[in-house]
Amino acid sequence: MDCQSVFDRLSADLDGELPPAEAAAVRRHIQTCAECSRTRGQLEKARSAFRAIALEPVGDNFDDGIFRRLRDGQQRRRWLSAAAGVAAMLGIVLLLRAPRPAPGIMGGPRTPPFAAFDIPPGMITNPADAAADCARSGAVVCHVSTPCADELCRSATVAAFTDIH
Amino acid sequence: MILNPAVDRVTIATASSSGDSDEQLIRRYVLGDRHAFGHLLDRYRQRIVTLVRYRLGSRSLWVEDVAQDVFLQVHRKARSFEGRSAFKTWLFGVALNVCRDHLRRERRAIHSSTSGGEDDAALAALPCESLDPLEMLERTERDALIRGAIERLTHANRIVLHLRDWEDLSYDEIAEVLAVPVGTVRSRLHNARAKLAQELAIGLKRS
Repeated sequence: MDCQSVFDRLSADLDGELPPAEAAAVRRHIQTCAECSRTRGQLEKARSAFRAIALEPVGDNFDDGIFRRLRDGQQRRRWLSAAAGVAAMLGIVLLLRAPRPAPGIMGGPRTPPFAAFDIPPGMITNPADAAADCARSGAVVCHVSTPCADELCRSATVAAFTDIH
Repeated sequence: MILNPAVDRVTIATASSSGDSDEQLIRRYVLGDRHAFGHLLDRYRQRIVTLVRYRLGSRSLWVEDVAQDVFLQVHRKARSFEGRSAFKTWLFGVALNVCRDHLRRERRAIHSSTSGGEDDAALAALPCESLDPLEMLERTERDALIRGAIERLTHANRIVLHLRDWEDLSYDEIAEVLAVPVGTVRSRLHNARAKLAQELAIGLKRS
């Protein structure tokens, strides 16, 4: 093993992190090489110096700061969940007080003005007349089925739904 | 309080009144034992502050705030500790992630003023009640010299030295904390020690 190879392994050797065969080769080299032996000594001193220094001091309020921030975080979460609860309650109240949706829309109950125009497509011969009837009835929304263009399938197929208003 | 390094390395693991391992403590904390967090705090408070200081640099004003963030993160992530690695390996990984996030935020805050920090000498001069004045002075001077040399290293070198020479992590564990190959740990540690030896020699000449 030459000096460069040994130099690269000196620190790992100090830490006992070399495989036994490599460690033995490094030790053999050091016994015969003054330069590598000196370098190993310097690295060992650097390691000792690092180990010798005291840990950094910590402020007296360090722990208090952690626990205060933990408490603040928990309090904020409690406020947020309370606010979310209030918002949910308000939402429910508003939903209950809101006007009913137009009949037939989103599953709402069908009332006579709309039901009159919820006619199977085959039964509508003229969509424009149906729309006019719908408007006169005062329905909030009219869906009128447009008959299929094909005469043969007129009684069975819905070609499209058209919003009249 | 500055702990005596001669005994810290032995006593620090048992500084907490709990005889439980770190892994047992974090599990107890997850199950609702609040005291377990205090025991972990006792064991790691100074070590995390030191690691954060090495990462951010001793001139950063945010060292203790960021170290507190580390423990808050431990509180939040305690459930995610699965015990696949040692607790301290996991903790140091969390700490370095918190430091990285802090540095990113700091870099983004372009308009904020650059942090001016405490003086190393002033830090080192903090009193240590357990020592007589002469011993304290010698230690203060020696520590200031070593700290000065450490401060001139790159943060990557400071951290790898801390993890190895203070925390006694194996090369494999350091590789896990830093998310780098073991070969990188080996060369980085070697370079860090060689650089530290060089800086110490320069510091000694100056003094």
